[in-house]
Amino acid sequence: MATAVGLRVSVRGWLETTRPVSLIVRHKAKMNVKTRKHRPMVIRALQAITEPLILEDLQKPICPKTKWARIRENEEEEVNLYQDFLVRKCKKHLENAGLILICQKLPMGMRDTKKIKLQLEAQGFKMPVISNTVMKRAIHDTRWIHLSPLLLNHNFYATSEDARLKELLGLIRKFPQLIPLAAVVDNTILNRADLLHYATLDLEVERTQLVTLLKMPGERIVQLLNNHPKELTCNIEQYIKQKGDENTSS
Amino acid sequence: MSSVILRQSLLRSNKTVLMPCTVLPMATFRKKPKFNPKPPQDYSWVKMPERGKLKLYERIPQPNKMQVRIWGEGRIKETSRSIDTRGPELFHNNLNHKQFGIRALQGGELKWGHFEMMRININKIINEDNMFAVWRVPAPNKPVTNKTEGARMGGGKGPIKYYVTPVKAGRIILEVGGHCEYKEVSRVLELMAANLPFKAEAITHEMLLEEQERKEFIEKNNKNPFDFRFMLKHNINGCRRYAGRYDWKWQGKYK
Repeated sequence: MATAVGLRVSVRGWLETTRPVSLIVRHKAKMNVKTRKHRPMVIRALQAITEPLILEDLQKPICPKTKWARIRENEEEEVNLYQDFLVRKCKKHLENAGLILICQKLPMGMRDTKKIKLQLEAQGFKMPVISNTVMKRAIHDTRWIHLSPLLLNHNFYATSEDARLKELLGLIRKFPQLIPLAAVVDNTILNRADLLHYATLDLEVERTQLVTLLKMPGERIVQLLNNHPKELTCNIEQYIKQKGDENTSS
Repeated sequence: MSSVILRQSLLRSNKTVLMPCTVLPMATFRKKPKFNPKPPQDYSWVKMPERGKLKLYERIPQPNKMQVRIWGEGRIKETSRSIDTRGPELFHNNLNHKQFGIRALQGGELKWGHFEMMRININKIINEDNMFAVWRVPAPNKPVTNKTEGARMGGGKGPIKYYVTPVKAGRIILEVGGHCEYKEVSRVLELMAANLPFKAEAITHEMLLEEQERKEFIEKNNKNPFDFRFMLKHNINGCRRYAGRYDWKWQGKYK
């Protein structure tokens, strides 16, 4: 029983306390520290009452949130340095490559992918593996942004420094799992129809035709300019010849 | 028709057909965690001690020369000072090497067997080239006596049975550090903490800093006008009947 000097109890029962001068406490037995027993209910109730109250913790809703709401809350855009590295690598590929072919990749086994890779590398082509998220970030705010409608499903990429589209398509036709969708040739995006038409063209013949077409007006001008002096020289030569023949005859 | 059969039939045919999404197996729709490796950490600030592994503690302490001169070569009995395990730890409650460790949440006593259990399991994971572990408690030095079973009262104090180290709440028991991350060490530390005879936890330096910040935040923003000291002062609900001197000292947090 605890006793405190200076304790006054009024008639109504309210305790009016003053600071105790001495405090005497007696336990029935020694306080056993080794055995983990609960404290008395009075002390435990007071400990619960005197816990700190913080307004921010109290304003949290009591009802538990759904799984998707919790996930959306915790989803923050983390800085992924590995993805930044992949995006930089992808941009380098796009800038240095003269030809980029994008195909839809249907499911195929590991052996077929290895086969394609070996055949492409033998011909001088490369087969980079780029995910759609990385590609979307790489082409954002660039001139290749119009390729974004293709970045939906599994894609296959083949690149080379030279624009050898005919050879590349010839290799890919052997694998029915790869469907060509678009290509980037000499900084121009070609859709499927243009791609196939471009592959049927013989570039050397077209180039010679183009060169001759470009040369034609210049040659015509030179011909027209040289026409008068040529005629004049021919006529003078003819006149000189005639005069000479007349002199000899006379 | 299963997705596998459909896929094989389409591949055999030479027609190039776009596969509908429903044919793909459900495993492709499962969200994989994004590969986000962290850059390698800088461990140039870590000072490696000379000894990497935990020292072997003796079961029975060797007496000092002074003790032998005064008391002779026999083993000295002591009173069971329970104050050694009561209350908070005021000095050895921070990580010296500022990496990882085990902290006691309650008071208690560590026997030689507990030391051996921790030493063997932690020395297994430590690579002396990169990592180290250090004791933060002394070897068992406090004698514990016990009378034989069935012995009657009287006849003096019982013989010494074993030696223990007393530990208070908040004491750091051991530290682990070096060129390593918490993931490599957490599993063993948590296992060791669970095997101790009192409540303990595996902690890091960052956890201690967060705890301190949280304490300061609570002190500033606590809207509860009532304190445990207030309750004792005004004897709310007759709590002084159940309270002792250490409740006045430690605000009812420690026994």
